[in-house]
Amino acid sequence: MSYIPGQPVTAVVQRIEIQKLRDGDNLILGFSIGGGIDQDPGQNPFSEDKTDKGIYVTRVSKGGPADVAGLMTGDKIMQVNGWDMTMVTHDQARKRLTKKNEDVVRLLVTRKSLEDVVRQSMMPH
Amino acid sequence: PTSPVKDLSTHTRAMSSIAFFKQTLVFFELTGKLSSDYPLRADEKPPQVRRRIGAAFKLDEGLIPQDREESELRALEADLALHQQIYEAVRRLSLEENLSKPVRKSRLQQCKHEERKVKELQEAVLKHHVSHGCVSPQTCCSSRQPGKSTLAFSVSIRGPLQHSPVQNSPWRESSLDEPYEKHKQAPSSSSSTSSPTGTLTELGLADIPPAPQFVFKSLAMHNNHSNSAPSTPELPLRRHISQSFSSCQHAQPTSQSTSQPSSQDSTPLRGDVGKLNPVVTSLAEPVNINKMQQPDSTKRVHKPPLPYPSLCRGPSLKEHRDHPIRLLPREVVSNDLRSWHQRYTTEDIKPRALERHGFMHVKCLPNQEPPPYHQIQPHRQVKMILQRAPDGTPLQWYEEDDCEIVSQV
Repeated sequence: MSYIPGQPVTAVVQRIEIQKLRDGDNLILGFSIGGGIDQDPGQNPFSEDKTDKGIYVTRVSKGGPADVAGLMTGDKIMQVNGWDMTMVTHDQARKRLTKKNEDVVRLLVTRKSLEDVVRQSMMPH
Repeated sequence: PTSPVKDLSTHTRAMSSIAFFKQTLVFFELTGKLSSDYPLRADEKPPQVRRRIGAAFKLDEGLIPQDREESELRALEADLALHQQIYEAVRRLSLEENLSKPVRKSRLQQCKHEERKVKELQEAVLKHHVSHGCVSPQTCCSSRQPGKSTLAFSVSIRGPLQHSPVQNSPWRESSLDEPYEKHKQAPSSSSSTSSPTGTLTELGLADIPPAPQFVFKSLAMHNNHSNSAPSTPELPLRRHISQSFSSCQHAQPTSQSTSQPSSQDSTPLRGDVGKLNPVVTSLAEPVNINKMQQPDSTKRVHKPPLPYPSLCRGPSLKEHRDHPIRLLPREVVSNDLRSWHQRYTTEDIKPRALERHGFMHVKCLPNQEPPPYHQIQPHRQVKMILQRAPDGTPLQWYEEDDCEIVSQV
């Protein structure tokens, strides 16, 4: 999934809506992220293209809000509430996702299997 | 003519006259010399300019191009050296004390700008080296005067060859279950793994917290590090005690002041308790805390108050031989949690929240979590079904308009 920065990206995406779980002052999303333009993309175990500096889902807590919403480990996050996540630093992404005044985050994610599923279903039976 | 003046002025020739004028003035301020390009009429006296002390610097003479035939690399290196010195000067200026806010701000901005410029030039020099096939930058960069500036430069290019101005830090993951803090380097969090293998092993099932723990977290536990299962049941108890203690203090303020520590001693505690109050109430029911409470805990409350430090430690119920915390094995407690979690999930708390967003409709059966797929009925118009449940309910479909896969969860 390589692309040229600044150029439009075409990807099959899935919309995922995560209802955060309140924990006192804390909001729980139930997943972890890795990556960002400030991190070494070569060490990302989830990306196909080892130069991809996107934000990836590295872990989803079982039974947690993200798991319930259908997020999967290895998903690449394209947008958060409409904000681009393909050219942000790790901390910028974290900030976007953990806003305290938002109980819901809407993600656009892409993963390899999505494309395959669409391609298969397009084929005449 | 054989000075940075010449070089600077050639750069600025293309600029608009006003910008150029300003630049020569700045140059004048910095060096105390009037640029030869300064527009002076024959009868005009040079302007009086107060020299900026502290911003002056001396360049490594060897780096300044001696004639027009100097190589591109030399020019770049000279530029880099110049800007490194400018950066250093600007940085010093920004650190000066007693600056007004706007001045400090603008100096910091200048500082950032120069920093960027230096980085760009370093990149450019590096690219030059790479494109000219130099293996070691030290061997081909101006070998004649390895001054201070060249040293800094050669250090910076020992790193990996990168064209991005942003320096890569090791790949790491961070959990989104903690509030955002800017420089989170806590070693306790499982986030700072640098090697991909490490990250992968972390994803092992054993590491994923079990569902009941989520419930526990959702009970407004203020302790973020309550990941260790054994210690968690203690917390509500301690808090409960300190709360009852404080309310007791409220009730009989006089009896205390005579014998034991004054009520002022415990003021910080009371403040804490105020914060903890909601925690206690929310915990009381679902975790079955009343089962853990004992008649003797009331006795304890009416005893003269203990000095603050021992309260802090938690005037442990554990010390009592037959207190339930000793009798309750961990399994019992977590079973309590689990049953609470089941109630929590089946009592339509979460589903309703999701319904509000019109995303889906969930019917819940008791004792099941999360809601199974076949109970979900999509409200949306289905375009192209990709996946169906055994009973034919679409689970995942493709919406051509949006180029999106939508799935019911």
